[in-house]
Amino acid sequence: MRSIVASSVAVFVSVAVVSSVAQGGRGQAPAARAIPRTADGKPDLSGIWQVLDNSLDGNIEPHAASYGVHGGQGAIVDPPDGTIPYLPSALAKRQENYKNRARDPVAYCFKPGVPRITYIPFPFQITQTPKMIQISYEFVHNSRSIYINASDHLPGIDFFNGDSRAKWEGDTLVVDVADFNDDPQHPTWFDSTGNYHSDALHVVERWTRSGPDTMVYRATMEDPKVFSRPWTIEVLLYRHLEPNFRIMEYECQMFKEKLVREGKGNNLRVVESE
Amino acid sequence: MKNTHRAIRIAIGLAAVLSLGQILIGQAPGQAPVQPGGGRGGDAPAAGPVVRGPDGKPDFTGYWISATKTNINNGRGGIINPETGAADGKIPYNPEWEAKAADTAKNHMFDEPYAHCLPAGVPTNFGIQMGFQAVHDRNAIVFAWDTVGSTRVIYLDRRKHVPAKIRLYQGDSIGHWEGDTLVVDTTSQAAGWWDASGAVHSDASHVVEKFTAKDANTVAYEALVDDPVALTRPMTVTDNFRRNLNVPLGFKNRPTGYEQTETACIEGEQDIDLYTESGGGFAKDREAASDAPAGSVQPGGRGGAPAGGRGRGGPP
Repeated sequence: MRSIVASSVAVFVSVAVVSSVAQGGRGQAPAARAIPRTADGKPDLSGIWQVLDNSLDGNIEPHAASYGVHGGQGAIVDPPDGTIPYLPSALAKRQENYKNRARDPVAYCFKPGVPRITYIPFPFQITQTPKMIQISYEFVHNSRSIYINASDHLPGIDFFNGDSRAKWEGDTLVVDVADFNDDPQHPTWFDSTGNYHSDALHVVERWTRSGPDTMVYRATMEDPKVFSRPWTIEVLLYRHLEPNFRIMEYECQMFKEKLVREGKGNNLRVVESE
Repeated sequence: MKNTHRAIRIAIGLAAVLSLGQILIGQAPGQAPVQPGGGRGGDAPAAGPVVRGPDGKPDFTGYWISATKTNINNGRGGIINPETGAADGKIPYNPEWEAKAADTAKNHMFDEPYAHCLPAGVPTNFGIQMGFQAVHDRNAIVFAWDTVGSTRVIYLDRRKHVPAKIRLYQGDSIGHWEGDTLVVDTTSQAAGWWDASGAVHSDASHVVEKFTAKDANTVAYEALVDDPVALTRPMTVTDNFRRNLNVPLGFKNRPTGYEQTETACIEGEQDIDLYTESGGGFAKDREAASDAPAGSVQPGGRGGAPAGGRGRGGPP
C-alpha cells in the first residue's frame, strides 16, 4: 500500500518537474543580469551562500513530506522524470539505507560529501583567488580546496568531499570532483533518505553566477557501479545579505556524543519499521 | 582501496615528519628547503619580496608552517618575558588558574579540545597544529589546519563583533590593515586550552593578533592575549610562519607544490562504536548486560574494544 501511494506521488511530482524544465529549468535567473567580477575579470563567486530549498537535504528526488523532511520537488533536471537512474541491482541498497536512515552519516556529523555539502541547510563561505577557491562550511568545519591551475587529481588519495580541480568555461567555474572515499562505515549519501554512490563516483560541478545575489549550481553524477547513466541536479544558491552575517560553528559531534552518552542518540530521527 | 588509503596516510605522515625535522634543525625562514632527492640546496636564494594582492596589501594565500608548541608554558613557547624581552616567558596565571592548569595537566588531559575534533582556538591553532593553509580575498582570510581539519574565518570588512553572549571555539575575528600588518581582534572565544599540555583559559579571553609580512616566505606573528579571569596581566605570544616550500614526493611536479589534503577527525572517533545501537551508538544491543543503562559501554562491541574498555564520558 505504502509503495503504491509513494509511486503515485512520484509520478505527480515528476510531471511538475518536467513542465518546469520545459520552461527553462528551475533556478535560472535572466541571463542579462550584471554579475560582480574579480580584478582578473572572472565572475566573483566570493561571499556567504546557502540553499533555500531545505527539502533537498531530506531527499534529492521528488517527494512528499515525512517526519523531519520538508516536501519538495527534488533537484534532478536530468533524467526528466526527476529520479536517480539506479541500476536495478543497486536499488536494494538504497532501500536498505532508507530503512537504516537514522544512520545517515550527516546525523553522525560525518562529512556530507559532494554535492550534498552544497545543499545541506547550513551556509558556506567562498574565498576566491585566481589559482584556487576555498570553501569554508559552517557544518562541522568542513572545507574544500578547489584548484584552478590545470592540475590533475591526486593519485591514490581518497577524500570524503572528493578531490576538486577546476577550470573556467566562459563565466562558469567547472569543477571536476573525483577520488571519493569508499569506507563502508563512513559513506557519504546524497540526502538523508539514503540515496548513495560507490567509490567510482565522478562529479562535474558547474557554478554560474546568475545575478547579483544568486548562483546556479549544477552537478552531474556518474558512477557505473550504481547508476545506469549520468544524472544532473540543479540547485539555486542565494547570497546572504544580512548585515554582519557570518559563518558560525556547528560542532555537531559535541551534541551527538552527549545524546549517545545519555542513550538518546536515535531520537534525532524517528525510525519507521517497514 | 583501504590499502591505498593507509599508504597515503603514511606518505602524508612522512611529509609531516620531514617538515617537523626542518623546524627542529632550526632552518631560518626564507632559506631554501630540503628538496626531495636533491638534498639541501647549498647557497639558498634570498626570498623574494612580499606577495601582494590586487589591492596592494600582502597576500597570505599559501601553505604555512608554524613552530610546534605542545607546551607554551615551559619557556620555549614564544611567550615574551616582559622584563627581558626574550621569548622565554611563562603564562602569567593567577594562583587559582595556575592550580587549575596544573590539575588539568595531571588529571584531565583527555579533555584536550582537539582530541575531540574541536577547533583549538586563538592563538592555540598556530602553536599546536603545524601546517595550515591560508586563502585570502577581499572579504576575508580563511585558514584551514591539517589537525582536526579545523577552519577559521577572519572578516576584513570592519564589521561588528557577534553579540557578547555568543561563544565560538575559534572566537569571532575581525581584521584590518596597518601598513603591511594585518591586525585581528578576536572576542567571544569559548573556554579552552592555550596548548596541548593543559594550559587552560576562561571564556573571557580577548586576543589581538598581528600578522606582518616580512618577505615572500615569512610572516611574523604576535598575539596579545588577555584573560582577566585567568591572568594577572596580558601576555604576548610570538611565532614565525614559514611558507612550506618542501614538496613531498607525491606532490612533485604539481603546479601547486604542496597541497593540503582532507582531514577526517570525527569519522575516526572510536567512542561511538562502543555505545549500544539503542542509544545511538554502533555496538549491538544484544551484547549489553541486562542491568546496564541504555547507551552504556559494553565490552566486545563493534570496533573490537578490549574487555573492560570504556569510552570517554561513559558511566563509571
